[in-house]
Amino acid sequence: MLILSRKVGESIIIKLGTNHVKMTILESNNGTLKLGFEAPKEIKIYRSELYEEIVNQNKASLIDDVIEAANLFKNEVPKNFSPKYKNIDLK
Amino acid sequence: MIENFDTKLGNVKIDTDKIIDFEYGIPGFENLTQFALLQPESTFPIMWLVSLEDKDVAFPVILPQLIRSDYEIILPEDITDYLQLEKPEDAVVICILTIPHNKEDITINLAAPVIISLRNKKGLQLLIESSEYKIRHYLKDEIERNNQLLSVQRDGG
Repeated sequence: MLILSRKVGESIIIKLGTNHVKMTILESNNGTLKLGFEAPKEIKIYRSELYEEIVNQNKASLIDDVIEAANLFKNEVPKNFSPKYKNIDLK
Repeated sequence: MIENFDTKLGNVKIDTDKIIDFEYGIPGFENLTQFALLQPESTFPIMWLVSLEDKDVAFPVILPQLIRSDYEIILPEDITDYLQLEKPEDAVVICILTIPHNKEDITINLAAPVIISLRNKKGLQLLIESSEYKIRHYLKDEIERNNQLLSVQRDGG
């Protein structure tokens, strides 16, 4: 891991191909740092715990047995529950 | 052009025009970009977002309004630009289910819906930072909530 020390008001630049992200330390308060990011729109910035939670949930969503899963679900959802619902046509 | 693909749901014929390009991958599966949305009657209302590159990867998905009739998200402009969306009907919004062997524990991910563009066949999983929508909503709770909501709507008019 690369380790850099920065003071409030200082920043770092992360270069990704032809893009770059500039991260600035805006404020430091009792161990909490407030960070500002300047990045092109296509670069998404997330709190890592949120991103990792979605990764873990996606992995947990993979199904072993398609029919078993569908039946478990059907038993939980009342039959008359479906609102306006039709197949999606990806024309 | 119709091609055969091996998927979690078996060998299926897919019109290559209907292949969805997840250019940026799905978190945890960044190396997979080619998906199809399969809608077999036998598993209705569950649909399957299946990888055409790894036959072990298939996500069970449903339209979120099936269990949360007031589900609503606002797409940021960079997303609508990327997906070339001009109106809400240009997009399909689906949510991934987690279905463990114990049905009590079925959850739906309302915080990270999958958005598919009918305009350019691109797809992505959007991460919404919201206090309302969470990564795990128990199906049981959602059905109860929705029943209450629908009965209020009925009584109110």
